[in-house]
Amino acid sequence: MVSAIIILFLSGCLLLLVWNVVHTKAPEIRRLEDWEANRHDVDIASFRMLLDHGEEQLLKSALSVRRFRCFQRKRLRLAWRMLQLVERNTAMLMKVGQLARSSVDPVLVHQAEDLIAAALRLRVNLLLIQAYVCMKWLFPGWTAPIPVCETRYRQLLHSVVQVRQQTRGESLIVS
Amino acid sequence: MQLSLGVATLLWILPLVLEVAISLAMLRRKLAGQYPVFFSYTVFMPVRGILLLFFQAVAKPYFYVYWGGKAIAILLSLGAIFETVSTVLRSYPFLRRVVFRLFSIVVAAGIIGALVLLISRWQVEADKLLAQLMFLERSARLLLVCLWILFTILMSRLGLTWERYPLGIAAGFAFYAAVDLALLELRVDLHAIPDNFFLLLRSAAYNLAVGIWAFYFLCSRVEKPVEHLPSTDLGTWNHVLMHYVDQWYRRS
Repeated sequence: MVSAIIILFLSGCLLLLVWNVVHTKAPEIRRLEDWEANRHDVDIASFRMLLDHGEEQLLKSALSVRRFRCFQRKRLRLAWRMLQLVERNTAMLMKVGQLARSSVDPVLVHQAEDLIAAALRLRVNLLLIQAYVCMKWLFPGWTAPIPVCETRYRQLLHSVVQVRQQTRGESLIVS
Repeated sequence: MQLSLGVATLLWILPLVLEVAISLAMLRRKLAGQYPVFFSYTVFMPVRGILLLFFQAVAKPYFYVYWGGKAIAILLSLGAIFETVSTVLRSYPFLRRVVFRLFSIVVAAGIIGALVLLISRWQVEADKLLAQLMFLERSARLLLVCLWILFTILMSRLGLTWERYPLGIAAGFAFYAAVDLALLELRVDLHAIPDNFFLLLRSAAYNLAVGIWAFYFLCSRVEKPVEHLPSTDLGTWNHVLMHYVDQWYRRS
């Protein structure tokens, strides 16, 4: 009975995931103009202000604990929303990069590979930041750093750059 | 009775016709070489269907064609997952290596687990043999479902974009794997649905999966080539986020 419930649960999960992937609300990028039309302008200065430690300390000293928590959560929600928009921009840019990679111009192909690598790097950073913002939302006064296996993370980023350079080297030899 | 026979016949013929159409469309668009496993699947399934029609009156060959064909279809479905991973992650060789390694471990563990369970209760009597074959099929479907879940979550978490054809292939296979596994569980383990209803639902699920493939492979879509890349602020965002990563995460 337990195995049956687990199996039915897994099947349901997969169906939901498939539905989510097929019915994604992200705009379709078929040409460069689609990116221009759908891109989100996100102000980096405002984002920095929302996550600024000095601002947080100022609010903490000026407001009561309850008011501070409420206000800090509002700031984090806004920051989260901005991160989501950056995430969507990144996904659209990855698609633009994929479209550009099919070009016959080798320079454009290299630029597209750079763009895809930068987008992937940003995605990994976004994942880490989103996890922390989530923790901060749950515990607004929390300032302790989260332990992370840096070596693995650096390896991932390094290999992305290395593979890109390797691919570039190979294509130069071929040409 | 006649109505259900008519529906069953329609559900049997429709995917065969659609799969032939998909195969022809793939050949015309030179996609057969790009997705050889999926192409083999779309060719194999109608051939199996026609062979089953020929042998329907002869029990033994029908049994071998049915179960042998099913085994090949499941192997091709498994191959289609690896083909999709390979296509979608071709720009990220490091990720592809990691995912392939992860998938290989999951597949090996799944196969070993299913075989150990099967060998421990192997019996050759006709009804027991059928139950064991059903058990193997359920195990294979469960493996497929787990692999699709893993891959879809990975794609979504890393924000990687699906291309049109891999998305169609993945959606069709994942949908069928999920529904078929649920139906097998409801029929074989829980005895919640009668045999004829189970066969009808299973056939309908397969029709829907073929419908998904037909939608993605038969409806063409124009993508305009990009002549230059837009200026982006990805570098600035990366710099800002790295600053917070350095500030918030303690390195071990």
